[in-house]
Amino acid sequence: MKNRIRELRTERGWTQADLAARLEVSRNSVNAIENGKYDPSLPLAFSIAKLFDLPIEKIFQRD
Amino acid sequence: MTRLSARSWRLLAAIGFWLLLAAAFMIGGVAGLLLGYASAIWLAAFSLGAWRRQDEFERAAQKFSWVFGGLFGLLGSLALLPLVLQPGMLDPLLALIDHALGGMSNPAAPAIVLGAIWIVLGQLIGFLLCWVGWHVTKQ
Repeated sequence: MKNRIRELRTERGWTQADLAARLEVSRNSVNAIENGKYDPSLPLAFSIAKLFDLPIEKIFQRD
Repeated sequence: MTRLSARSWRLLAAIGFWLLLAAAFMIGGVAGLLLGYASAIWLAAFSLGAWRRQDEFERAAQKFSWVFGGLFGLLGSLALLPLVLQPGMLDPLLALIDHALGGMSNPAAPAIVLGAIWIVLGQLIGFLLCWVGWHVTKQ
């Protein structure tokens, strides 16, 4: 699954560690999600969408 | 008390487990046996503490590693049995375990304990290999 998390994060000037702290996950998690190596669970995807104030489908797209 | 991270809980689980297990082997007898049980309880308690504190990414890594690493570790430990069952191969280990058990009246006790350790060790090695591999491929 593709996502725009890196783009959205850098727009806000956040590091991976900043985003990880806001989502209460590890920096490894953020890195793996950004690189498309790990698909987050639905609750985490909703948390990400809420944090960026966007609908989920604007962040995550099928490959 | 400061809130410890999942990594700290995992570290405490491993260090405490191996220290207690080493003490169990050194002391031997009934006290050693009780320490052996204490090491297992310690490991379970701190592993559960770590599990509660880690995020879903790490939980996914551990589930994957226990299923596949545990399975292949188990199969690997069974595959190596013909090799380690060669005459004399396990004698030093059996003597060490016999000493740790304080010469229990059941002559099969060291072999049973070694069998259990063999399987658990195989699964643990399989888990660790899989866990490292999972993290490397997810970066």
